[in-house]
Parts: sequence; structure tokens; C-alpha cells
Amino acid sequence: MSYSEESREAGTTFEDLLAAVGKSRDRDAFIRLFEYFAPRIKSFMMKGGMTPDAADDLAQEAMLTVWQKAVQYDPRKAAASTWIFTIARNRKVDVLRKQSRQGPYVADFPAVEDTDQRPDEYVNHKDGIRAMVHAIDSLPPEQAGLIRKAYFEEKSHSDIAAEENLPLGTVKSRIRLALEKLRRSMGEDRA
Amino acid sequence: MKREGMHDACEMLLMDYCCGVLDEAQELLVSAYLSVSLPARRQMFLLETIGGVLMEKDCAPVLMNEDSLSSVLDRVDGCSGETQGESGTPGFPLPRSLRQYIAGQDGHAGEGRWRWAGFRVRVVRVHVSRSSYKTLLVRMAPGARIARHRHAGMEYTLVLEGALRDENEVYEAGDLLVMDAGTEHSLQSDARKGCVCLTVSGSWPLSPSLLDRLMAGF
Repeated sequence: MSYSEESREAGTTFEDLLAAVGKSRDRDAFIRLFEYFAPRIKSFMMKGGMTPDAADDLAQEAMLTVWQKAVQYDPRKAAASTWIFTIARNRKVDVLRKQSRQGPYVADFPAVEDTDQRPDEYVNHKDGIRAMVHAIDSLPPEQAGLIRKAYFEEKSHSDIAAEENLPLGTVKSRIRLALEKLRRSMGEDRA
Repeated sequence: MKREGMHDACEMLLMDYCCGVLDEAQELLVSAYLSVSLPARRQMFLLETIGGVLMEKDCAPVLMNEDSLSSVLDRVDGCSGETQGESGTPGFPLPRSLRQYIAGQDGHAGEGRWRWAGFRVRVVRVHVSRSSYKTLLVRMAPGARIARHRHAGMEYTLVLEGALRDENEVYEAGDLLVMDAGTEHSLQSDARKGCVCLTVSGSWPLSPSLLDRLMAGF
């Protein structure tokens, strides 16, 4: 897994690149983000059943939105991958809803606001994300499988239950258990 | 206990939102929920972080088409990007997600739009074009009651302002109450503050195939 390590170790993080796009419309930084994230967004969408061309278009749209919204990116609040995932998910929902332009307004940035974050507080996304990767890898297979299905295959819990031939309650409780473990891995014991 | 079950239902709703599988009315509800509830935002942040990690970790890069980067760069040159933040202030008068559905440029639902729906209860219909759910903004005067009733379908009630109680609990602004099909309750608004809520209700049990057919009709 070439999980973004090279680039992170090289000193410039994706968070830095994204912030540079926001601050100074840095094209080179944008190109590096594109080269890393676009093929992964494309892959993500293809797992959900999109054709390669549709997924390619969607990755382009998402990256264009990244450019447009980067000025709002605050590296203290979210890792680049969290932020870009959120944008890609929103573009996908837009596409699935194509004809109707009137979808609800959905914020193009991750959900949390800086409620308890001091402005000068350095947030180490790298450690947080690494802990999350580890936590996902340590989930029991029956929980990890359901989480992946929910994210990649855009299935509701009842669809998953029907497909896996499991009671709905079992699907929900496994997902809930998994989320609880992942939440703890992020050190988010505050909720 | 009852509260626990409701919390789980909210969590599942947030998960479905994160994975992009909600009906438009439910999505509207969740985006309003996120704007009034800090715990909901925290949960969503967790879900979005997981999504980002899964995208990096599990999605082996698929080569982009040859001209994709140059085509995006061409478009990038044409747009300078946004300058002003969109985060704004969450909360009432109306969460931003709701405003486009309910006139009033100032974000208030115009007085003329509120319709009588019972003694000291007023509603505004929220028109969600492609949804099988009925969506209403409900305003209850202080101490107003809604008599005990049974839900034919699932119903979500998000408290936007004030407070509301059923037989078991008090729900404050930012709380989301989930009623399963077939359940009953009565409601009373806070004696001092009254309340404004967004309700999204399915009036009949929805099967996926029915939903698909309805969606296909548009």
C-alpha cells in the first residue's frame, strides 16, 4: 500500500499542498494533489459501480471543486484526505441526482467546526490518520466487510442485510461496534 | 432504554448520509441536523475521516484518462475560485440547507406561508421535489400540544429552536427524534419557548422497489 507515506515523509504533506492551493492558487501544488487523489477518487467511484469514464469525469469535477473551495480549507480542522473525500462524495450525490438541480445545500467541507480547537493548536493529522488506518486493519473481518460495503457500494443497511443474508439488527450492531472502535482510535472520547 | 434506540437511529442516518444513499428529504434533514447539532457534526467528521482513509488505503489508483489533468487545468484557469467562506453561522433562523426550499431571502419563512395545523400549531410545507417523504416545518406556540397519534411510516423530527417533549423525554434544539413506523406518541412544546421543528415523514412503509419506481418517475 503506497499509503501517502512518501509524500508525507518528504516533508510536504497533502495538507500543505491543499493550503497552498487555497492561499496562493499554487498550480504545481494542485497538480500534485490531482496526481495523487484523482486516480483514487476514480477508483473509489468504480468500486461503487460507475463506468471508468463516468468515474474519471467525477474525479475531474471533484478536483475542480477542490481548486475552487481550497481557500476554505483549514489544515487545523481536517486532513486533506477527509476534505477531498467529502467533496468527492458530494459530487457523486449531485451526479446521481443529475436532473434535479435543487438538491439540499450541502457543505463542501468536513463537518466539524473549531469548537474546542485553539487557533494556534497544531493538529497532527498524520498520527490521527495512521491510528485510523491501524484501527481499520484491526477490525474483525465481519465488521470491516460491512463498513467497506457501506462506503464503497453505496448500500443502505437494509440492502446490505438482504445481500449478506443477515438480520438488519446484526448489520446495524456490527457497524455501530466498528464505528465505536474507530472513534476511539481517533482519540475522540469526547462525544 | 428508548433514548438509546433513538441515538442509534440517528447514527445510522448519519452513516447513510456519509455514504450518499439517502433520499433527498432525508438528506435535507441531515444537512439541517448537522447545522444545529455539534454531536452530529463530530460523528460526521469521524465518518468522513474514515471515508478519506478508505479512499487512500483501499482504492488502488486507477489511471486517469490522458487528457483529464489538462482539461481540469484549462477549467481551473477560467475560475479564480471562491474567496469568501461558506461556513457561516449554523443555527436558526433557518439552517442554510433549508433556506432554498422555503423562500424568505433573510432565511425566515415568510409569515404568510404558515398554515393552520391544529390549535396553536402552524406548518409550512417544504417542497422536496424528488422524495417520497413529506417534509414540514412545524411551529408550536409555547405549551401547544399534538394529541397522541400513530405513525404509519418512519418519522424524523429535528428540533431547530425551543424545546419539545413526548411522554419520555425532553428534546432541545439540535435533538433529533426518530419514530419508527407503527409507534405512537403525543407531543407538547416547551411552556416558555415553544418550538420550531423540521419533520420528515414517510406516510406508508417504503419498500426499496417502490422508492425506485417513484424516483424513476422524475
